[in-house]
Amino acid sequence: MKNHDYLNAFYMCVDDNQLDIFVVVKILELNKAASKTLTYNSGSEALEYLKANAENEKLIPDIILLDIQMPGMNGFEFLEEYAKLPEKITSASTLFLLSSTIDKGDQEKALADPFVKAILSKPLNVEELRGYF
Amino acid sequence: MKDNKVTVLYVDDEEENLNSFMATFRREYNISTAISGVEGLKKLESKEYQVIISDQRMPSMTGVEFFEIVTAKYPKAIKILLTGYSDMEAAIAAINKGGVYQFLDKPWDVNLLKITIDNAYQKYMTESVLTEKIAALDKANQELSRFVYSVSHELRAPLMSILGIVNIAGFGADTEKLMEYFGMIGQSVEKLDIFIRNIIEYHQNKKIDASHSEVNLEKMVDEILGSISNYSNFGSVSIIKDYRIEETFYSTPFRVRIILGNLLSNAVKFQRQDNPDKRIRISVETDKKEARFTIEDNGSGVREEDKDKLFRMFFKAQNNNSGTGIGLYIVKEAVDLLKGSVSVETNIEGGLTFKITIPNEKS
Repeated sequence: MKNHDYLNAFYMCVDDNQLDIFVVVKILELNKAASKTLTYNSGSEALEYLKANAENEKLIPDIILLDIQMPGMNGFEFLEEYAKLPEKITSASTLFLLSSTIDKGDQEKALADPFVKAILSKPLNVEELRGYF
Repeated sequence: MKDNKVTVLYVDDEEENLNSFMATFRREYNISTAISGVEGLKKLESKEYQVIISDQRMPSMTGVEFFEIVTAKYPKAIKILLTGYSDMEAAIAAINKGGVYQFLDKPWDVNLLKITIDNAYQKYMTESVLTEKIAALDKANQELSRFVYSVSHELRAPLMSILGIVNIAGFGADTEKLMEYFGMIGQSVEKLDIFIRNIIEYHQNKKIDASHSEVNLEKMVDEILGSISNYSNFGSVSIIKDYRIEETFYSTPFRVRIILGNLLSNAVKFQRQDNPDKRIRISVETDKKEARFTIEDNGSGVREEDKDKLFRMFFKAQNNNSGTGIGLYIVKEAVDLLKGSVSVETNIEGGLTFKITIPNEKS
């Protein structure tokens, strides 16, 4: 059975900024939210991981925290590729955008995406995350 | 020599009228004539006309019918219809369907027709200029929204990183941890500072007043290095300077400073942290014709496919955390304004080598 709570969950964080990765991991750790955390500096590496582990439910993260502004592949481009993944991956994970954006266009685009549960603002606030579970 | 006369197409089924029009106006305008709407359309296929004049009463295709087709195909041309006052129906149709600028009584009065053609041409020019202006404004607007979007992100992102660190520190930490957190906050502040400087340079670069004066390159390089000496990497990077100043160099000092400043601060920023032998080599040569700069580092470099995109606005090479995507864009812009050239290559150590040439010009 997959975990459908934000606590004791398997997190994947995708962010090009190493400092922000550090912050997310630390906040999850301090709030005892994560049972396991996997971090990637680029969307393409994260996608590769997901594709490679499609058959192994245990290796698919419960919660994905995805940055928007990244060089190479940005968050929205990641989502385009994410939508093409097998349903067993996308239905097993709950995806949040985690960004410092306050741009209306970004928010609208995020909310229109069926794979995006919500757009969270940086720095991660676990209380805000809890609101979605 | 290009013919700058107004191009006019005159369509009339009476040969006599065509001839007299040609005789009256051939010195003033670049005229073509057609004996029918069909022939007129043929002429329009091979040449652009600014003003089109047509008689209304013609067999097979009336002036209004002809203009309906013309309006759909050549919306820019200004149309004048020649018709009798008695033909009210044609006049109304001309305006409603044919998009006609003006209709004139037949037989035409030379002076009135000339004024009408000249006014029509004015309208044509005004509309063309307006169309171009609108397109340019649209483009500028799009660039501006993209600019504001990126700028607001680049300003806010480091602040949110700092807030994140502050939140973590709020959970309690020992001195060692706190020092680590302060270091991280420092990194974000540095990033924000670089970005703000870049934005100011971007604006400065747009200045039109760019008078040339003597540029003391050795002094400028030292000033730049002084201004970035508080970057976290700076202390661990060895800087090799190699000057061959054969001639006094004249250029626009603030632009040269923008160029060297960005390239040097990049060379310091984009080092491989695990490299014990971080190096930058600056070489400067001047002669009567130009100044040649080479700025070489053995830092993290970029992927081959990203190399050509480095000078684009807001482009960031992958996995370079402290890039703002604007520095090299400004460098390119400044180099272009000085009529110089800039190129980048990956060197044997995997770092980048920038080569810049700037003309040595007293004014």
